[in-house]
This record gives sequence, C-alpha cells and structure tokens, in this order.
Amino acid sequence: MRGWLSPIAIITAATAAYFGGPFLRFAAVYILGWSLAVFGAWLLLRYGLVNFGIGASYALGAYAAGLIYKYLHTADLAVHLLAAVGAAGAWGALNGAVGIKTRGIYYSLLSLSLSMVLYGVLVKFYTVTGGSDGLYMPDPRLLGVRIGTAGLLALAALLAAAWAALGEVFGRSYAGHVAAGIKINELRTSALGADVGRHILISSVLASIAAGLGGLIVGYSTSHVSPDFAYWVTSGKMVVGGLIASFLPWTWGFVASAALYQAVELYSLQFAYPELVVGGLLLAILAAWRLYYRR
Amino acid sequence: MSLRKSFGGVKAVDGVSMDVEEGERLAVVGPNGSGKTTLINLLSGLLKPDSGDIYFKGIRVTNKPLHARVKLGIARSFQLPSLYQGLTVRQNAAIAVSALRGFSLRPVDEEDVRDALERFGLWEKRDLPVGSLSEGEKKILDIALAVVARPKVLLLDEPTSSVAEENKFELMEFVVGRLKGVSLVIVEHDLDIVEAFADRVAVMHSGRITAVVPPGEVRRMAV
Repeated sequence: MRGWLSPIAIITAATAAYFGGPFLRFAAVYILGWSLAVFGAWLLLRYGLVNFGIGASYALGAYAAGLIYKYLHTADLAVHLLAAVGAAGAWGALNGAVGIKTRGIYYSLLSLSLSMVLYGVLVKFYTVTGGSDGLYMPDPRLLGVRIGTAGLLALAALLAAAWAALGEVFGRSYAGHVAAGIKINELRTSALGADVGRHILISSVLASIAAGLGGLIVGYSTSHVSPDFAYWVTSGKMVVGGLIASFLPWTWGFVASAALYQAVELYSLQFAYPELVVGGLLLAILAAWRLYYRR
Repeated sequence: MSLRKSFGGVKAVDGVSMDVEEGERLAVVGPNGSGKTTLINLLSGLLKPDSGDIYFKGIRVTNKPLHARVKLGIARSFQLPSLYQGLTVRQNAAIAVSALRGFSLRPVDEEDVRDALERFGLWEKRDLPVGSLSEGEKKILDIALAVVARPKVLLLDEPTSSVAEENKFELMEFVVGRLKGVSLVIVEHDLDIVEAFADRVAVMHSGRITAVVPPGEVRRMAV
C-alpha cells in the first residue's frame, strides 16, 4: 500500500487543482511538467551525479513534438509522446555513455557542455528550429479530439504519478540500493559485482525520458518551446529542485519541490530584482543541504 | 603469468608468476612496498597490468573489469574496511546483495540479506551504523560483503590489520572457518597468522616473488 501513496497523492492534488479554477489548472500542469524534469535530476542525484544539462532533455521532449507538428502537421498525442521519449531517451543514452567515465564536477561540466551545444544548435538552426523564437506547440489531440486543459492536466498527473510509482519501486529495488552504493563508495560497489557504467547508463536514459516528457507537458501548457528550455540556468533550477526533493521523505517530493520552486519564482516576480529572491532561496537550500549531510 | 606493473619508474610488480589451487590458502608476505597490495589489485581487476596475463579456471581475465571478475568468482576485501559509511549493517549487506543483480527493479530479497549477515554472525547488529562497529567487526563485515558473491577465490588484503593483537587469531579462525572450500590469497604481515592459517607462503620483495615455501619455513626466510 505504501508504494501507492505517492501516485495517489499526486492524482489527489491534481484533482483538487482541477476544481480550483483556470489559474490553478494551468499552474498544476506547469508544475507537474516541471516536476518530471526535477524527477530526472533527482534520479541522477541518487547516484551522486549532478547533471547541469538535464534541461537539454527537457527541451528535446518539447522540440520533438514541435518539429513533428511543423513538418508532419500532426498534433497526435501518441506520436508526440513517442517522439519525446525517443529523442530524450537517445540524448540520455549519449549523456550516459559520455558520462560513464566522469564523476563529480567533471560529470557536471560535461553534461552542461553537451546541453549548451544543443542550445547553440537550437538557436543557430533558425530555419529548422525557429532560432531564439522557438516553435509553436499545438494543442495535442487524442484520437483526433483536442484534449484541452483538463485532458492536459490529467495527462500530466498520470505521467507524474507513473514516475512517482517508479521512484517508489526504485527506492526499494536492487537498482536503488546499487545507486546508494555508487553514491557513497563506487569502487566498493564495483568490487561487489555491480556494473556501475550500465547502472548509470540506464538511469541516464530514464532521467532523460522523464525530463523530456516534462518538457513536452510544459511546452503544451504554454503552446511554445524555445531554446531557453535547454539553457544551463534551466538545468540548474531543475538540479535545485532535485536537491530539495532529496531532502523530502516522500517519493512525491519531486512534485512538492517543483511546486515550491515555482511558487517562489512566481512570488519573486513582484520585486525589482526577482533573481535575488530566488538566489536567496537557493543559498538557503544549499546551506540546509550542507547541514543535512554533515549531520 | 609474469605480471608486471609500474608506477612511473617504480616497478611495483615485476614479473610475478604464481598459481592458486582450488581450496588452497596462499599467503603473500613481504615488507612494506614489496608489491603485495598491487598484486591483489591486479588479480582483482582494480589495476590493469602493463604486461602479463591472469587466468581463472582456464579463462583469460586480464582485461575483464572488476565487476566481471566478481561474477566469475574472484572477490576481494580491502586493507581498510571499505564499507558504506552512514548506512547500517543491513543496508551495507543489501547493497552487496543488489550489486549482483544487474539493473533490477525487483525489491531486495531480505532473506538474502539475512543469510549474508547470519553467516558471519552480524545479524544481531543489523540496525547499527557501520561506524559504530569495532575494527574487528568492520573487517568481518567487509569480508561478509565480498562473500555475498559466493567467490571461488577470495583475495584478503591484510585481514587482521588494525585489529587488536589479542583478537587477530580469533578473527582469522572465525573468517576462515566460514570460507571452507574457497581459495584464499591472504596478504599478511603477521607471521604467526601466516603459519597458523596458510597452506603455502609466497615471499615478495621489490615486486618479485623470491620464494614459495611451506608456512613452517617462512620465519627462516624472514631471517
């Protein structure tokens, strides 16, 4: 039963948001989409990997759908989902393969570099990607019918619930224990028989797919995707979200973390220097993180 | 066979050839810096030799990584217990059990964890953080984690180092008694331990094996 608590909590929160009016519906879709990218960052943090390029996966999920709409003129949700999973999964495999040999700050900088290469491609290939203007994202259709905001909220909630369920399973699984082992003492884990590279590769793909689906949802919610999705600052925000989620005792913490971050960012917009408010939050989180691990 | 490993200009292992019989306990002795730990690192796959080959049951394992050798049946413990600090004894064992399963999302089998700890008398301590264990218990847990893989050869790197003098024999008796049928390569400084527990002794000096003798003759070699 305990394993179902996170998915149930997410579905319940999304249902409450549905009855909360148009703004809450929009905010819930945005937060749930963002939370999937946070899940990706959180999953990699379980291995001790700080991925400052997770935004690239987030962007690819949305761009895959945007490009399909632009060139194939289809807004079919199933096609978009498959494309987002394929593009983000392939990027995750590339990241995982490149990152297998690197750890710590080297892994972080490598993932950041790769994402900024993608960012450059998205900005410079104007004729294909729309450059810095980005691409239009259509209202998705399921069996030819527009799913609308309610359908998008349901889709976002189901995806977040599914990843939360995966997180629950992962935490108690053989793979989850190996992740903890790799984070604390990688050499020992390898000496116990774990193929560390394989574990990291598979988790990179899973994390990237989660982030890609998140990008797709956010793109749908704003009807737009731009290279900013892949910008390293976006990735940094996701990593902070992942850090907050890792403090929280529930697997659905990645959704709570996304909600907290988005609320603070929204709140900060009323000030002349919103970055200071968000920056203050980040510093407070880092301080809490240091205290947590020292304890 | 004729293993060589250098670090810069230092020949840590310089043409070592040796074999270990099934179920045999081979001790490797020698002064500090003689290459004992480097030899263990080469055999376990932690280091790659500059030249030479390693065979296990007729299979060339020279280029196989650490984890692949564990699956074949070569496991190791560490000179300083290599445990997961901050976790409990049970969580340490759960990681060892999980390490052999590939990327599996199935829940950890608690029976396997219990078996791993009970075999070495650590089940009662399962909820203690590993940092609170005595040095001897840490050594035993380190070996218990390695044994989860059911190795055919276990490489023990100074299993009694940092253990109180009066507890060394007890610890070795306890460990060796639970590893019947497993070939052991024991790097050890304490000649009393070597005499009591080894079947053969390889003496290393400056990266070479200078003699392989019965345990009763090891003191004469040392003199």
